[in-house]
Amino acid sequence: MPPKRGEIWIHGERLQDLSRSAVDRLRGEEMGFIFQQFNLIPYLSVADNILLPTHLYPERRQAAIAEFGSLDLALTHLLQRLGLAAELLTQAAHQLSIGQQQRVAAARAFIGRPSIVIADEPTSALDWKNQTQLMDLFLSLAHEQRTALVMVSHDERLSEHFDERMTLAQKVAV
Amino acid sequence: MVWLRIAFFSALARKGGLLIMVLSTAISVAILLGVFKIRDDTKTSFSNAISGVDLVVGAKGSPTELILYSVFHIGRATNTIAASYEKSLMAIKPVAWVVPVQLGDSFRGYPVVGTSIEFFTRIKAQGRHLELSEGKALTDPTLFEVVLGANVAKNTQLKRGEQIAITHGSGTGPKQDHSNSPFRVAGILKPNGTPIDNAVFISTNAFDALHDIEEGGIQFAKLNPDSQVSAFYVGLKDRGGVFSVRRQIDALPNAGLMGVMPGVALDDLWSTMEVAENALLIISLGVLITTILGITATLLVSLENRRRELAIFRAIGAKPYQLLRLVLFEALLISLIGIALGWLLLQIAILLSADYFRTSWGVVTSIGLPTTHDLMSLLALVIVVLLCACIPAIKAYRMALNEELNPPST
Repeated sequence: MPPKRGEIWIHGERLQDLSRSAVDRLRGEEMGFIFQQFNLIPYLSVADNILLPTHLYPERRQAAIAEFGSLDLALTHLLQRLGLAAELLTQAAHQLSIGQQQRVAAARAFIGRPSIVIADEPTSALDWKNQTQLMDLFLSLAHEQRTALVMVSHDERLSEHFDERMTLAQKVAV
Repeated sequence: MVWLRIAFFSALARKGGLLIMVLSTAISVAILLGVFKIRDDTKTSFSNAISGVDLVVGAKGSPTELILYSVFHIGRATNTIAASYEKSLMAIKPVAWVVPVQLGDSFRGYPVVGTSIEFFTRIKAQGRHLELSEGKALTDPTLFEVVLGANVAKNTQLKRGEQIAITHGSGTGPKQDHSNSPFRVAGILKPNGTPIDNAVFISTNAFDALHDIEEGGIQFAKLNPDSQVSAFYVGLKDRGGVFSVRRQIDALPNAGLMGVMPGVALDDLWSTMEVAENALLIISLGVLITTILGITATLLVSLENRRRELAIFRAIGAKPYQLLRLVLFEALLISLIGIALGWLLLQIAILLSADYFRTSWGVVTSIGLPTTHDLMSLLALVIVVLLCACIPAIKAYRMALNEELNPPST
């Protein structure tokens, strides 16, 4: 969906100038997404969900393998970092609790070192304690992987975690 | 492979609707293959009703009528020919054996065939020699012995050694019992799925004697000079000589005989049945088209349920053509599983109904791998399914990456 006003620049390229397939590639190869509603594929296993970006983009797969030696090791590492038990890997995504689902969504966004992870209200479905815990995890993962984390939140308390903050003034609804 | 697995799990998650689609594909595949099967097996069974017979010799006329009457005991009676021609036929060099066939009488509605002992050793039914389930074949041509076809024995409950009366004529109309003729059941044939199952066999002498009764008293003429037969079954030493033998039979002076190759006559007959065959084929094609439309419709409907799922794939960076592939994979999966299941269904149906077809229709069916023709049709089916699946697939392709991913903002 093109912006109505303004421009989006990613890696020195103006998004509106790119072809649709180039945008697809950019989205899959360079970016990870964490949604408010997690958006896991419910019928796939946790492992399959996390590995989806690596199936779609060989660059993501190679980055993951280069970092950890194999996709399996990358999986174990991410799971461990996010505090998920390894037994979860074979479970279908819809069997997980909300907190677990959001961690799996994060693993999917971070696998294979994307340069940007965009998180849209990633923690608002969680309680405060989990929110801060997860925020710390996200940030340390981003730091470790040298991935930029762009987060949208209505919760100003979370802003203290970030280097740069922008406040979007409430616009008049159309 | 990853996409195949994703397609599989995705289908598994929506198994309810897809299962019905797989079943309906299976049923229409079973119907289509079944029609092919019935057509092929009917034709083979028909052609194999008598085998080992190289020529059927009868009075000049319609070859098809001669075969229908003398082999299948149906249709109009053909003109009879003198039994004494047996010698002339044997005199033709490549001829190995000659078996007379006399028809025209019946026993409780079953055709009575007057023939020689050799009938039971020379003639093959469905490619197999005739076998007796009990008793023995006609051994002594001077006796009033009867050999019953399997169905006749089963339906009349006659046992070996029982006395029976044989009717003159077709068995309908005014009763003309030869009740004073002391026929005795000598043997019963095993079922073989041919008209032989429904016939009663007596020796030519006995057959002639039946007719002599009208002229007073039962008696055997040593060799009745007036004896008439409906046809001769002729076997050759070398099948390659069949055309030459046929020419020589046609040329026998004053005989008015013709030699008919059963296979050729049956092929002619078969071609007249093409209309019925095509009707069957059109019906099964109709079933197939319904199934294909059903698959397309199911895919379209399930696409609505998959909007969110497909949007997630797009958000992770899946290109539109990968979604197209996902939908096509699913169509492929449905049709392949449906085909496998349909084939299995047909094999089970054949196993269960083979006995019925054999005894009631004289059609021998057997399970077996699909023929090349079957495979070509199934391949065509898969291709058409994939082509039709392109409609929902293209719809998935166009499906925009939109706000499906988040709940409507409040």
